Amino acid sequence: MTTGKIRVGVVGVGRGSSFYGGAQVVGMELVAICDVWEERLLQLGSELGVATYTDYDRFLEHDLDAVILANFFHQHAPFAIRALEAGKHVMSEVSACKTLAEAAALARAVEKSGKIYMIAENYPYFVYNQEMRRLYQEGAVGELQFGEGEYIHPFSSQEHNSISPGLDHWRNNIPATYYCTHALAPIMYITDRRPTSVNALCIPQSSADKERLHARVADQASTIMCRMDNEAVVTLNGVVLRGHGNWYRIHGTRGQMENMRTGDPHRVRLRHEHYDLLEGEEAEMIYLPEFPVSPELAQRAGHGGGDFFTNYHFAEAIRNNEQPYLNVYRALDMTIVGIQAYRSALAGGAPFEVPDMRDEAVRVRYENDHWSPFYEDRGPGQPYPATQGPMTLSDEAVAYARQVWQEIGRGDVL
Amino acid sequence: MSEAIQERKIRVGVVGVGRGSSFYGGAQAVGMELVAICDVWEERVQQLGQEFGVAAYTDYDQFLQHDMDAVILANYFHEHAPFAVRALEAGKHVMSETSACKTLKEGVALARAVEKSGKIYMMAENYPYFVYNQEMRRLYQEGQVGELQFGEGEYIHPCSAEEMAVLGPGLAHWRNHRAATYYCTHALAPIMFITDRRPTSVNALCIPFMESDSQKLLVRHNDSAATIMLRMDNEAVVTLNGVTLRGHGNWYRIHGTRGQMENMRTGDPNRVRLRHESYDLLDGEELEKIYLPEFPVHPDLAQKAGHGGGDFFTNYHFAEAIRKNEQPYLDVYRALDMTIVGIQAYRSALANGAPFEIPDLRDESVRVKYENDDWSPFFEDRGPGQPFPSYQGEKKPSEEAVAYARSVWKRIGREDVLS
Repeated sequence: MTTGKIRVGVVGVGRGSSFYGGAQVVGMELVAICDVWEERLLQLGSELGVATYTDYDRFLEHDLDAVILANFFHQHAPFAIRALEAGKHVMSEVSACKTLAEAAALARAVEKSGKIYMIAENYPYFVYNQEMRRLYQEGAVGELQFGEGEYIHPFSSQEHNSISPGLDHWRNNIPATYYCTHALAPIMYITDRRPTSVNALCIPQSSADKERLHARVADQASTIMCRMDNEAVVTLNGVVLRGHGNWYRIHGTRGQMENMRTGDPHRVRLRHEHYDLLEGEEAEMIYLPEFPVSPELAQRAGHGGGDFFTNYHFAEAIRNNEQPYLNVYRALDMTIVGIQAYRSALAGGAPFEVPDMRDEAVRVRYENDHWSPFYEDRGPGQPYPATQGPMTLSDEAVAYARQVWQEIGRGDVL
Repeated sequence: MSEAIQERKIRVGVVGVGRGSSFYGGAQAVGMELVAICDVWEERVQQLGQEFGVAAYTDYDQFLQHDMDAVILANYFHEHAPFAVRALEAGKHVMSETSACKTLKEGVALARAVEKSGKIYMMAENYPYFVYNQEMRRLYQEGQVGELQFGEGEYIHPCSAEEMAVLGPGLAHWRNHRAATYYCTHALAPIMFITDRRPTSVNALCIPFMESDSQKLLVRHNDSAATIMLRMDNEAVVTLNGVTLRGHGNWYRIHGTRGQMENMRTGDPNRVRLRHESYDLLDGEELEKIYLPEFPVHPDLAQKAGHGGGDFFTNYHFAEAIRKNEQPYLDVYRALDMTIVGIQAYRSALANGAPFEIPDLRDESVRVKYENDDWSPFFEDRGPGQPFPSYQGEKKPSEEAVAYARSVWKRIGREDVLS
């Protein structure tokens, strides 16, 4: 990993500072950061001894090999395309794109540039998901028939407000289906299957919920049913329900596996019916697996080791000049599920295809599809982020949200 | 046993010799008495009649003329409704095994027959009465987790080719033709029982039997499994999984507006896990609690019964309903709600998961809309306008699979299905 450091620029000061610590071990070096938050940017730049930019075009002119995009959730694709056009490799945080038009443009930009593109989806690299991939690829459970992926992250009003400053903040305007990649990516990674269509329903905010003193005008959660390319069915649950946790399970044609819901969630449970048992197999096995590579480095990184492995695989892809597993096509598959699922949810769960952006003929069909529920796109023909239509926030909720934003020093969004 | 139970025995006739013999042992404890059995399997019905000292019938009309208060229907899965309607018309209370009806037309006729007869009707759905589901109902009704937002119910029962052949003797047997969504009541009923919610619409997808399956000798015309997504009457979403996947088990969970609960997937599945977020904690509550609950009534009797105590409680609540002359919790309307989910889910699965309503047969104006709907995927109804039991269309089991199944049927003494 020592041959020629990869020079990296990071967009987003938060991620910039967490990246700095882990960059060296995977052969990368932070050389520039970019953010519109000038005060923090300059402070961090001098702290880390790297160049700082508030202007993205100037940032791209810096002598760097790769760009990591950690700006807002729904703003990655245009930044990625400009970086690719400037000849930089790109690792983008989720999601890959906001609309299908952006998806088509991103796929084309990656192909045209010949540069590496990776989505920094860290949940596939949790130790239990890497182990389940190993088991699946060994044939331990046969072929996927049914799978479930779940990312549940409850928030109190206070917690939500403190990470969502401003009425127009994306977290206050994101439909419940859009944040689906943490639930879906591990299932795709374990099984190498892609979704081909979706049915989804959103779960609205409830008047029985006391944690509603926030500015979110979207649904609480959703359930998404995916038909996969081998006719298996995968369901996805999340996000803002009670009952915190990540949970993944695979039911195959020869066995079943999942990570544990209770106790240490890193443990894997593998089961076989008595009639499926091969020599040396057990009816049930529950154990704590190990990372396949660099366990000591992974343990130290955030998100269950996931943050180490996204950096690691991005660096490896650049060094080997081969697109990574989480390439632009898989990034788009998992992002588009969220978009099409919301269309489905607005139509009572009717089926919608998950267009395969590997195919230029499919891209042509969607290249002008600018359908978006986000705040800045609101207008004729655009959906609201709640399935039941426009939501009115209570005076009490807005007052409390403003109070929290003030407390965290975000007077600028008031 | 309470005095009410001792008061006067309820005289019961059972249709189906298998259930007849399991019922015999538990009847007395709930104040019922087996007086007659009925089955087309003459040899076995006579033998069992003699053994228990009860009347034996092969003709259902003659059976209904026997002096008895109630009939328990344990004939085939999809044949209950016409038998129930005739029993009600003969003035008998009815407890029916799942499912309640095969078609929406039958569902309408059954609802009308119950109302007209004034007799008790109950669905013998035993999974709500598992100790953890009764405990989760208690917790829910106490407000421990708030209002249902998301729920999941799962009944997974894998079967080897051999096990399935034993359970489904004959190429025409209902188990070989049941569409994957139809056996959904074990997954759904507990969620309805815990929360008092009913489903209003359904989206579903079926999962086909795959070539890669280790059990290549299965005689199947249908799909392996299904996932059903329900919209409930409070806008919550509930998903249901089953049946013939790997990974045996029953699992139920509720995510509410104030907490989350489920039964355990590992170790003793009768344990309940109750969770609260830090910001939802009330005085005396814990972030996580895992414990083995107790049955609310008659734990001693329940422990001895089959299906995790469920078989005791279905008998118990049926007897109580008769004694009090009040329809039980699992009344005809809830029986139809949960049965119709399976039927409408299959329509949805054939339309790639498009939404279908769950008609509420409490309402006569809704019944009128469905009173002629005899859509059915079962073998005996095959014909123009009727669906095949796989969403992928007509499926023919391989010669090898049929030969294997026949060898099993022969071994278990079911030569009668070989021709």
